Amino acid sequence: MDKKSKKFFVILCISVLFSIIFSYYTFVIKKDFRIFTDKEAFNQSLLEE
Amino acid sequence: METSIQTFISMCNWDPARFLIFSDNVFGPLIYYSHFFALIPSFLIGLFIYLNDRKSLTNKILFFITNTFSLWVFADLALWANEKPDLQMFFWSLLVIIEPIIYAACVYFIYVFIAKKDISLNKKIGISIFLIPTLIFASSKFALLGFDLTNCYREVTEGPITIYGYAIEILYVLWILFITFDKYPNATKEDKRQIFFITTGIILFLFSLASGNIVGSLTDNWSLAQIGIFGMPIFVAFLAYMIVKFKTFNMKLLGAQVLVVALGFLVLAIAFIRNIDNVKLVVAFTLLFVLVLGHNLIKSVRKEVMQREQLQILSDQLFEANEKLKGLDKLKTEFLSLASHQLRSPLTAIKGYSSMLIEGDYGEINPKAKDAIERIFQSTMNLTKIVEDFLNVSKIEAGGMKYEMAPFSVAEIARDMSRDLSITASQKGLKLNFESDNDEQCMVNGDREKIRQVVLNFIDNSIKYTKDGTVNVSVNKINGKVIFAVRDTGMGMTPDIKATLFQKFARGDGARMNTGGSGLGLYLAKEVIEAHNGTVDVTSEGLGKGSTFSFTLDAQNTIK
Repeated sequence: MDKKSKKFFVILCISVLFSIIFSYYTFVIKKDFRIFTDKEAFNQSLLEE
Repeated sequence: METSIQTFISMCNWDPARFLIFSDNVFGPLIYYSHFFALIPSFLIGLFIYLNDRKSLTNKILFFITNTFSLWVFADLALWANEKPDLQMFFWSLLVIIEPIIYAACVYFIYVFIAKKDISLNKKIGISIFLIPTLIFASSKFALLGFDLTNCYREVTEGPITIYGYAIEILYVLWILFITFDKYPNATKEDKRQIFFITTGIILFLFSLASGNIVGSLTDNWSLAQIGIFGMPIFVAFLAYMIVKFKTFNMKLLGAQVLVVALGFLVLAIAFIRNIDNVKLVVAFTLLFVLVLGHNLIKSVRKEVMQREQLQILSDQLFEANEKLKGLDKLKTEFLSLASHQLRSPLTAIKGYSSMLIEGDYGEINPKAKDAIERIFQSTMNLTKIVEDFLNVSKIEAGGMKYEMAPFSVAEIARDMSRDLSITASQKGLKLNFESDNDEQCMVNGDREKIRQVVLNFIDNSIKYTKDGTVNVSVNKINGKVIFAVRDTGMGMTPDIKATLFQKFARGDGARMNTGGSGLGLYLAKEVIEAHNGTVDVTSEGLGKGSTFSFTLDAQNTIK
């Protein structure tokens, strides 16, 4: 594998790692997500999205 | 988290997960069976293939695929077993990130497997570029809208990016099919079979994984997605079959090993079935697996036994042939002994008695008879030389030529031989000249008698093949090498003859002039000189323009 390809794979791996870390931060640490307990609100939200 | 949500969760009576993946929250009784049955063999075969050849790119990619899949399986289990919404959201987003990567890696794998080399950077970027949206938006509401607690569903609601992820999975599957159909026609017969198996295995794996998830996403019935995971064991089975059948990934694995390992996993996985009713189903599946693998195993064992029998027959034949060869070798040695003693002895007697007759030891003989006896003597000399040449060639080829190493002067030998042969030369009307550096300078370490024969051969040849003119013999030391050369004004030679002159039985144009000779003299000279780590050479400007035969020896040399 040439140097450019290796560099590319390193960048790709770092991106994946950052994505996972950011996901952990968002959902587990910051708990930044919506929880639907009401069916109507849930359906409304689905429609909005 | 708000108190109302906590209350809501507590009302759902969810089981707290142990080690993230063990709980009663999982909906299907087969979930642990399907996950562990897929996870362990895939991880192990990936590891096994990678450890077999760490430098191989296909092995590395396959190892990456199986590892990533193992992570996917773990995340999927954790997702269904966990009671905490935040962890569920995280593991679900992990699936959104990982799943398309597995597909992209499979495309890369197929490219490398078929082409047997790495692909260009542009292609790699082309494959990876579709992953960017899922990597960027995996933790946003575009990927996961939120957590559905209505009716205690404990389900994450997927957004458009997750749907995009499924779309590119289908794209990657189509991509693999395109590569296969594109490269398949140009592949060799053996490669075609391997490409067929690897592509079928990968497509079954990816298609079942994608379709399970897509159906789950569209229908909210995720129990179907669990069946999709069985795609991986199928792929593993294909890999194992390819390894046994084609020695793919340069691995040597026996069918028996595969069967034992597979049976081990099947039995182990039964331990994870949570409902006894499903045991029948799993046992039926295991039985089918054993029947298929067992059939192949019996076939391979039968083939192996037949091969062993054939090998034994060949071995016996080889032993017999070897014994015959030993017998022939013994006969050859006996023949050599016979030739050297029984053939040489009468020749010596003929030579001796004819010499005595010529010398007049038995009284005066008339000139006619003397002439005849001289011819007998000369022919005997020629015959003796031919016999000696044959014996020497036999010794060289049998590796039995002995060299007695000692320091001596090539100049001294060449001078003696020139003096002896000057009579013969003058009888033909030739002038034989000799020049050399002093004897001390021309010392070499070698077998004096063998080198003497080479010197004799070179000078004798020059006299034989020169009708008129001169034969110049010289011995000089140049740059630490002793160079012996015989230059004549004889018949010369063409480049074609020159190229074959030192080969066995090669006589060049000499055969026309000289009916005697075995054609072995120069071959023997070359063998002897090369055994002294020296070189022989011949130069000629062409037919009728004379030639120069020479050999070069180191002052300090050794026998090979």
